[in-house]
Amino acid sequence: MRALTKSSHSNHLYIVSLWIGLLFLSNACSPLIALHDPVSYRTGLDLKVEFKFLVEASAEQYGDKEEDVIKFRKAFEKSLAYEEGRYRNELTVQQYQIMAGIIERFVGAWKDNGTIGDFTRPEFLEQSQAAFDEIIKLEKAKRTEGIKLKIDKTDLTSTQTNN
Amino acid sequence: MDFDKIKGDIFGQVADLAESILGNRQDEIVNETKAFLEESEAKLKLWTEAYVTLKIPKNEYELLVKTRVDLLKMKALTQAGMTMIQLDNFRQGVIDIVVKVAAKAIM
Repeated sequence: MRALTKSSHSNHLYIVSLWIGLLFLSNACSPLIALHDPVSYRTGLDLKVEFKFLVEASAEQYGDKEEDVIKFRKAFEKSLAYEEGRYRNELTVQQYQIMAGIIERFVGAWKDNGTIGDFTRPEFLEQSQAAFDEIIKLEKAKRTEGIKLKIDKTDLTSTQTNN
Repeated sequence: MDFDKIKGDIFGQVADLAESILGNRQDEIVNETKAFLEESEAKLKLWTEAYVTLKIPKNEYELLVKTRVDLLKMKALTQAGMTMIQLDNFRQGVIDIVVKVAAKAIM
């Protein structure tokens, strides 16, 4: 009887420590990376398309398209600020910062040369679109929900029935 | 209550989960990087030829080369993000397994 009580006590301890461990684990398990944000995903796609138009427009004189460049830059800056405000979003922010450098160099060359040449334009378009794709790809892959304890009630019910 | 069985259940399921979520990650990264570098070599050759023969402006040549390097950095960040997402998925999976096995044992 005593042995049985001791065994039952140790079982309880085991279960309690398992649950306490789980609680610690779930607390420590806030996501390592930002969760998926449909606004960010959509903005990434929009910026990609807008930038495509801008690169295509670089066949024309920079002076004629400066307003479009300013408009695009404003939209890009807003998106970067939005990304900076998201929790654990450092990797996407770094991607945006790299993209900002690419845009800066492109606008600089366009401004200095007047136009971007027929050879460079499609080659640069391909590279810059692929760079936007990386931002979109990462956003798309992010989880839609955070780490949480999930107890499948259906599963529990079926276990109870079986026992 | 058979605790050795519970532990065995948890460890078995966690091992399967690790294999299914984290299994081929390293091969994927190596293959993708290799393909990108091979393509980069061909691109660099093409752009350098254009710089020499078509006399494209130096700042446009630099624009192409630097964007290619930046693209590699972007890809590395994406891969880092993908790994973090998989680790999050793995942790969630471990929690689910432990909760289910423990709940079954209690009921």
